[in-house]
Amino acid sequence: MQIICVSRGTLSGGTALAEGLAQRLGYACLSREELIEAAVKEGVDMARLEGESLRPRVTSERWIQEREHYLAFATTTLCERARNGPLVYHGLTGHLLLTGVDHVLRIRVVDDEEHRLRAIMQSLRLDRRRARNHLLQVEDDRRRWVQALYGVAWDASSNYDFIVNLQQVNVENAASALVEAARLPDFKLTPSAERALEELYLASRARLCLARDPRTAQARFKVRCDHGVVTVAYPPWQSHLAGTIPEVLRALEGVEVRSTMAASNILWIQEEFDASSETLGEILQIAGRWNASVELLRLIPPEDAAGNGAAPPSAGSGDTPAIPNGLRETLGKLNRVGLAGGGRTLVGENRRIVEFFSARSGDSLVVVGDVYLSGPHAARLRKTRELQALISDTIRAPVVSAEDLRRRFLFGFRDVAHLLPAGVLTLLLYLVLFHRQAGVLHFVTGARGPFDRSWLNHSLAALVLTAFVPIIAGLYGSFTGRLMKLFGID
Amino acid sequence: MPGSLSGLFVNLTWMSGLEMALLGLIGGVLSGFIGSGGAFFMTPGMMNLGVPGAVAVASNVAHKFGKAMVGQRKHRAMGNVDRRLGLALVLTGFLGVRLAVYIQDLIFSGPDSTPAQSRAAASDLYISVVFILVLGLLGIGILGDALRSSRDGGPSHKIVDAFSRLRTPPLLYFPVADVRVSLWLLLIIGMSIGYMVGTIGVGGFIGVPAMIYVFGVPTAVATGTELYLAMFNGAFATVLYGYEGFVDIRLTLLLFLGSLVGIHIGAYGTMVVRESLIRLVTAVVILLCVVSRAIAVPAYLRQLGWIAMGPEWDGPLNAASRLMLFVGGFSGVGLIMANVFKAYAVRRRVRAMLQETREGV
Repeated sequence: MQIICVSRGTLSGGTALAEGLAQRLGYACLSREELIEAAVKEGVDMARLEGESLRPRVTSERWIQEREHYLAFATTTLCERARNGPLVYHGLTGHLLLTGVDHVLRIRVVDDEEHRLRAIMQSLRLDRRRARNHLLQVEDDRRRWVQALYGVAWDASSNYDFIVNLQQVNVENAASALVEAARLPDFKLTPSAERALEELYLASRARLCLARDPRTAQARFKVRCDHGVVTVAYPPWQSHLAGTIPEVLRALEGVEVRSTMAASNILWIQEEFDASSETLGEILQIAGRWNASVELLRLIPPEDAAGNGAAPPSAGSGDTPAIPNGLRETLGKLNRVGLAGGGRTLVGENRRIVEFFSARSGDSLVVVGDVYLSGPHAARLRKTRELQALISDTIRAPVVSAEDLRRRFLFGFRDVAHLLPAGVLTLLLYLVLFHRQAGVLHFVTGARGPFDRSWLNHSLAALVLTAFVPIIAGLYGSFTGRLMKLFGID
Repeated sequence: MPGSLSGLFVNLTWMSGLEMALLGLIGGVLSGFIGSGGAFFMTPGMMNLGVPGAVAVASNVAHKFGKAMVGQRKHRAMGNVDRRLGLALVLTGFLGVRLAVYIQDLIFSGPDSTPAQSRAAASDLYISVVFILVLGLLGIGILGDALRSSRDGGPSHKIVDAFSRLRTPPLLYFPVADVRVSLWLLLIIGMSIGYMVGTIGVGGFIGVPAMIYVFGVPTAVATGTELYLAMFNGAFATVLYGYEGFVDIRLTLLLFLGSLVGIHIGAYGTMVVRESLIRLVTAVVILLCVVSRAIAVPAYLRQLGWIAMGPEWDGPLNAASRLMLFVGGFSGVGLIMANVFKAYAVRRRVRAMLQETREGV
């Protein structure tokens, strides 16, 4: 199975190249225009979606609903076509719809500006200046569309495997070269990529069902599928939909559906999960406080993958691989307390980890537990630290180790040791200040001071005030922060 | 308050101290919930409690400085602060702050022939008028958006669309926020923020939406950068107001007492309340604060001798203004707390239901 995504600019020759490539390989071909036409028939308000995406920052609820509907529809359509056979898709950034599916061949087509300008002048009968403005406007609109929908830069070269410049090579020769590239094993879907495509297909179908049903069309959901189980997370203010979600998703016959009320997500990374571990208890405490779901990521170092049988499903069986007992039991426990956010396995080369985290949003915390278990203790610590740094570079949420989790987010002895001195010091400062308020006010207004000149006393007062305010705010802030932590409001 | 300070600083009793801390608490909850200052509630509240406008603004600015310093550390740790953008806005903001303090000082010093009470009334009137105009427009805008989004979805972008089209060179690039902004736009927005901070103690209400809608900065980065900016603007305004002798450090401390607790409660509220409701609560509280300030205006006009009204009206007008402000504050906080408790209850119910289902199976 193979998927090729061609990203084309305005009149860059990308359509001809994609069609030529599909013809030479004997693959089906799908264009963005066909996809958009189908989306309009589906009921997606494309005018609103495209119009609002041109703004610097889109926040409208309705736009977000339309985007979710469009993404679910487009992903389902693309997955469906890919499941039927090898596919060439040409549009803007089709590969971004296939998050988590590896070995998709991603091609960007560019052409020189002069050639494109001439094409625009000819087709739209515009003079040179207007044609240039038109070209710049369309390119800018496309850039904003990709940014609004996927949050990435359309023209960033790191998003593509090949960039073809049609200034130097004609469409036929470029297609021939790409046929050779497409034959490389690096761009054939592996069994694990095929399974990822199946899971993405299931999740997008579920999301599409929710977007189509009038009862859930206006709600926000995060839908994912792991090991054949579809997990739907909904925010606390949509708790009335708890019973409706399974009813709507009944259409997906034979699929296990779990729904979780969550405002955010905690991702816990381990090599082996244990339902009775202390870390799970601590994570559950925090998740309960934050209204967060808990998602499990079983991270297998690449060197261990073959040895312990944890590798992605073997040679094209197509079956869902057995879930390890620890992961299953932990997921079961999370499900019982209504905090399950799904669980998946990742064979952890750095590139895969970066890809996995780049495509994520909505995490409020990442906990890195016991990983790289097969190595010696020192190597384990070093690798874990490196993993933490790698994830921190990729996402904005705090990334902590299991040990740090307790210290930073749960009330403990360390907090008591800070809470008491901060509280006592704050109290003392308040007492002194209010006991001597007249003197203090005379000083801070510059009315009294050690200098003969008034401006010096005023300057000293201003400086002392500017230094004192952050000190008292820091002290009292530390006290209240830890106090709130004690009460679980943080 | 004895001697030379009696005209400027209020006499604090246990009761008024408690009221001040309560103001801080409500302001803190609203601040944590809305994601910006809270000064829009605290400044008029302090004026209602008899604090002269200039002192209320100065003490509030000092309070905001300390709070921003604590808050921005967390945002910086999470990579949510674009320091280049913050510093660019700070530099332009300083001009705005300086202008605001200069005007305030000009009004408060006044000609020698003007009695001290009239000068204080003129300052109060100036602050109130700016407050009513700016927050009135903002409140109506947010209310319109909240009502529109509940029907059709989406705030109006007419004004910000016009601003965001202003791409006059030179364009500056800010890497963390990943945006290109015209220097001229930066000057306008930075100076406006600085002027508002210096005049009514409210800057985030302009800074955060401007960064999000006009510059295109991601929301988390806009909030973090605004706190970074507030820290510098606050420090600068504290130095300037401190030099003029307007900062009542006792009031700053009393505000901290409530606000640093309230901010945690408010922030927790955002996790359980939908966005359109957050906008609605924000709009209603702002508009009630504006009405409260408008009720107090006739008293200042009387003190300046601009309208004929007996001084016996000052008391009832101030009481009505204070009542309106506290009704606004308490109803906003009440709604947030009700949603927090409701979310707790729902979670417990859902968990109990799940437990029962599993046990049944």
